[in-house]
Amino acid sequence: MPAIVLKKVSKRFGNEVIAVDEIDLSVEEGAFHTLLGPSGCGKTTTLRMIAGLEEPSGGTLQVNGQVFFDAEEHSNVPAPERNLGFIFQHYALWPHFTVFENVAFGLRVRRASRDEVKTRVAEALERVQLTGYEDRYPSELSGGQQQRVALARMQIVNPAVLLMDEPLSNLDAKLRLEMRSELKRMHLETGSTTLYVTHDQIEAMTLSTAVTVFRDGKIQQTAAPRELYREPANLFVAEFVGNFPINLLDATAVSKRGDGRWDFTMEGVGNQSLSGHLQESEPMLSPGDRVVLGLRPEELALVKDDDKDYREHVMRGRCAIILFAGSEAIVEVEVGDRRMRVRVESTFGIQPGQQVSIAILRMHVFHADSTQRIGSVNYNVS
Amino acid sequence: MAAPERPQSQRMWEVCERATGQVLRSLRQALAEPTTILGIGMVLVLAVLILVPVYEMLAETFTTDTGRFSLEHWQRVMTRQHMLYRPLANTLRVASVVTLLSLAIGSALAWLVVRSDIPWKSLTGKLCVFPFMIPSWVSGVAWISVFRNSSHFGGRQGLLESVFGIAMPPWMTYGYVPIVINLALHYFPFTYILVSNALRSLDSSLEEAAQMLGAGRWYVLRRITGPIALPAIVSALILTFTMAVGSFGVAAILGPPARFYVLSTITYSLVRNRFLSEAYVVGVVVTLIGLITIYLNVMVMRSRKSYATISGKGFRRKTVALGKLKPLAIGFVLVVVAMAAFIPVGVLTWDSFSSAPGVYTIDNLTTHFWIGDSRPDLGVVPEAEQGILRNPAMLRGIWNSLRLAVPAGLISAFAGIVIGYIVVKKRGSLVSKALEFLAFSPYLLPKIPFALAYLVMFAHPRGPIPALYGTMILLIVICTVNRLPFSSRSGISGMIQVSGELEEAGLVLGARWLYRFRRIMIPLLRPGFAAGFVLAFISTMRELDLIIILATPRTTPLTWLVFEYNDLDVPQLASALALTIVLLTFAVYIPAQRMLGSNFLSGANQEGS
Ligand SMILES: Nc1ncnc2c1ncn2[C@@H]1O[C@H](COP(=O)(O)OP(=O)(O)O)[C@@H](O)[C@H]1O
Ligand SMILES: [Mg+2]
Repeated sequence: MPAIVLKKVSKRFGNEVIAVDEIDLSVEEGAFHTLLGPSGCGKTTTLRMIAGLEEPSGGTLQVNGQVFFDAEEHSNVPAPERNLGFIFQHYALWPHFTVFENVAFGLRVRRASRDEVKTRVAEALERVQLTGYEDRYPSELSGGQQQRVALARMQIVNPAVLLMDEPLSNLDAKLRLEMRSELKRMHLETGSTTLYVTHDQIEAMTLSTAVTVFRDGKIQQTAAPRELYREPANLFVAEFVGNFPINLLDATAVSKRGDGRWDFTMEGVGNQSLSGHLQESEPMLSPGDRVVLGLRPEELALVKDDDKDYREHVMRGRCAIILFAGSEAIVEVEVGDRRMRVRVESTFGIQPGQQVSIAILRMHVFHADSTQRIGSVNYNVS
Repeated sequence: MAAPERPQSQRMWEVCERATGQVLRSLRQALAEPTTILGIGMVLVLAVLILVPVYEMLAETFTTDTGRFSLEHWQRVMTRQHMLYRPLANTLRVASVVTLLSLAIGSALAWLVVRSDIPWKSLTGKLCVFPFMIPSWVSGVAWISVFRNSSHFGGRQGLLESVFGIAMPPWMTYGYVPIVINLALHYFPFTYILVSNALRSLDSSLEEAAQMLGAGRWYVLRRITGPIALPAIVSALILTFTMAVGSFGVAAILGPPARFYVLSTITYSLVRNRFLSEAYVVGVVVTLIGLITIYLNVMVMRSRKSYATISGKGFRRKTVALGKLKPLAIGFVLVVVAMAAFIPVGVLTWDSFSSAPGVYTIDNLTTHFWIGDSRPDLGVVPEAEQGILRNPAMLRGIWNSLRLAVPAGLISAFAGIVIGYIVVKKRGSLVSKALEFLAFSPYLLPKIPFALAYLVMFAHPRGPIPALYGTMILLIVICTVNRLPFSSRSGISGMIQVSGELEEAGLVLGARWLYRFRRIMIPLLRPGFAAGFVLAFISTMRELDLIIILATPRTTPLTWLVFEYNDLDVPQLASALALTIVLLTFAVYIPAQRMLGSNFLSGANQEGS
């Protein structure tokens, strides 16, 4: 049974802003589920509605089988009674309490005995490696330490579900990596159902067991990270997910051959055409349809012209710029009047101005009008 | 000693020479920079204007008429119930209740405006600081008009009796209760400003984090919101208490008819009755109470761990729905603001147009007290006087007010900037510290004793300083000095913002000191200067406490006239004059607010009158 279930949940602010628009979401027990999307798309609002900090304008909301909100029934369990953990974007540590008092708060609310408070706070602080910091004030801690206090404070009351709102966005790059693995470790250890919000797709992909992509208050796709990357449901997801910006080319589906291969005529790249097998058994495509071809830089390769393996599915162009990034590099190749980004190993020998060919390893096809995914084409190198 | 012995005297000489050389060198270095000279000069001037008078007053309390040391004045004051103990007890009684009331009103309003969903927030917020614009003793004048009763105190009817037939008991007209109510209604805006700023900088997520851990509303208020707002509340408490202990006008207007005296009014009455030395003693006691409170403040602030809120970004402020309590909340705001500002102003307006005071019928209205002719044929009655706008004595009052407030405003705003410049430039040096302390010190001195100290200091010529008593200059000086804590504070913070790189850029380009100050600093500081001027001008326009003792017939400003006419029981003239002050204040305040932004008043959050 899913731990969190949202049905047709909406949130309006005033009459104009629809922050969350009739979303359906279910989070599996024990999952590390991430809400991903650009800022302002309604992730925080969704999380806050689950927490009880914001009242939905409509829909129903259940956690572990208990109805927390139901618009029809006018039922709404207040936040303090929901027993959920929440990590705020800016930690929300109380400045007038020491680390100890911050962590102890949840136990004190529950009127735990003095001794219990003492031992459990000590345990919690040990878990986040902050033993010895009991008497510090939050302002005397580094960002990473504040973060860990927030984690300890949340966990001390054993919440049913953990909700985290961009907990790493305030840390510098190195610390963020550290805390990322710490969160992952914590999740593996405790197995608590976690709903996590971020706008950073790498964070989402590395941490999650499932990802929901948001846009303008609507859900675009919910899938495991690998599926999200391999089979993005629409152009928005394809553009949002992936380490490098995807190349998009307008094209027309010309015809279907007898063997099930489709021909696509591309625009802006000197009317080159491509053909390939769509993996899907019955793609929603008919001849003459306008499509967008998505080519990930890491699913392209630069090849020598005489490489027979790739002859069929290559585009020819001229190397314009090389953007070096450590172990790899992005080469921008002028093809017709378009520029295509191609990822190469940084040891790949190439100079700006050189003629090159781009081999396509995999290609995503989207409807131009609906932006929905039609399918992908895999080019098996023979 | 292994070193070859040289004559002792020679070694001494060398040491001396080296030391002298060092002193001379550092002196020369210091003098090469005009900031230091200016700083030393300012320190001396302020010492003469603040420390010396206070010291002189203190010394005076221990001196007999023949100039010998003696404790007789202290003994006399200590043994007279009515001179010290009773007024002291009254003062503490007034100040503590006023403090509690204005803290309660101010905090409640702050919470409503910042954290609840009360409608028309911006307007409500403005209304909450509005009473601050009305001098407190002006409401005192209006209070009498409303609450007086034909069966006591001179026998005229007040508004309540005349219109509604409600005869107020005497203790509602004069004395403790009305003084407390009027002061509380005047002082709550300070709490409002301080606490609402604190609440504004409180991120809702701090409260939500507590909710998520299972804390209910009251628990959150008690353990999170309250403690975080506490430093602001404590500041407001100390500030209000200090102001209430020193306050004069309201108690002077509402107290004496009921024989109710506080320390400031007993001091004044001692001065009036020529018990000067006794007045000085009481003045010293008032000053001491002020110092003790401030000291407590410092201790409280120091013992609390300072906890800057951590992150200012990504801030959410959720408002609490008032639900059914909303009408009640709106009613509360309206009643408070009406009682503190609108009713007093309305009553004064009516009174100033009343032919006979205390009669609330249309046919009683007249413009006589504004623009009427003098009527010597009527004999010695108020109606014989000219309307204030044609009366040379009143016009001179207006003129005196202006020629007091304009220079005091300009000088204190300018001095604030110069002090700020020196303090910031010389950060860490003795000059900087001394100057900062001196500029702040008038804040510690209640006004009536401070004016007394000036009376001691400037009644006779001293060295190069002529006897300034009786001149406008003395009033300008004391009003300027009184504003220094505020103007120097804003001068310092302004300087911290603009000094440094901007000025150094000019320095690199080879600009000389005066040129730098004039062409780079001044233009950057102009808005701060304007705000400083406006605030000083407004507060001087309605200053009563500082000038009541020092004004002489040639220098009486409007406030003094109001006080006099109230004493003479001519409410129409007192009202018309009080209203003139309020109008003049607004005539400056409203355009200033347009130009300087609506927030500049919050810089004024620590002054009362
Ligand atoms: N309290 C609020 N009042 C009005 N609009 C809000 C409020 N909170 C959020 N919004 C709006 O709702 C939308 C979604 O906000 P949010 O959930 O914070 O986005 P995200 O967390 O994805 O960046 C935004 O357009 C935001 O401006
Ligand atoms: Mg957000």
